[in-house]
Amino acid sequence: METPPLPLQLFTLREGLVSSEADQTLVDAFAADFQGLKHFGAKLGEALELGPPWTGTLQEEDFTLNFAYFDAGTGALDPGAGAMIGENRPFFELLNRINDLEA
Amino acid sequence: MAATITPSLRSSLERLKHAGSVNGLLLGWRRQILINLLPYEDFRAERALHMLLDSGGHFSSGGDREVQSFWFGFEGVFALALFHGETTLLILHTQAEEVDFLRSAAATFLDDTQLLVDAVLNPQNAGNDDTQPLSESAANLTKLISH
Repeated sequence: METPPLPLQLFTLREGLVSSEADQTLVDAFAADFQGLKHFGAKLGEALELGPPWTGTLQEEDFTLNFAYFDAGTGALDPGAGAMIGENRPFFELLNRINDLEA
Repeated sequence: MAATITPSLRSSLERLKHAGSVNGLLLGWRRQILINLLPYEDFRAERALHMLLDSGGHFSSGGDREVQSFWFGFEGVFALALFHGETTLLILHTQAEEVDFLRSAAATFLDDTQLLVDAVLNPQNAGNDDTQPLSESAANLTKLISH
């Protein structure tokens, strides 16, 4: 039997912590990818003199993950949100989805 | 043959550059720059290319993942990167809402590019004796494509 794709999972970033209603395994998985994505986004920004990224997305064949900081900044303690889903989702739609969490 | 292939590759990339709010493009093969249309000098473009490849390598290091694209938003500009085989395409653009259109256009470009890049790398398959094979050194690749 085929495993159903991971449904949309939302995460919040606050005070350096990742939290979610998802189970701890998913929170840990998101946290690891988020840190990697943010790290390499910062390196890319450094290479092109663009500064740190305020949002980042990675997409695999059947997986999409993103994060975005809200207006306060992009520091480790600044607020933001993230999402991951087991399908190839439009990037802009996913960015809007997590930006809605700021409201 | 190389003389006809590389302008073709470049003109395809130029057309992509006119899509949406694109303000820079970089096409790489492995860790080498094929065409740099970014508003940056080659050393910065090369650093960016290496960083993207390292990022992809990081996520696929466990062996069961393969990142197809990254998208980062910076102050005033977005960076969209796509991987296809050993080819990497980096697009700088300014309108977030254009990202999915650009991703689709870029994926098509990369599909088409495979044939052109393959013809450059494997000239014997192209059936033309005057094709010069590209070595794996960056110098040979960049010499064939004038910036």
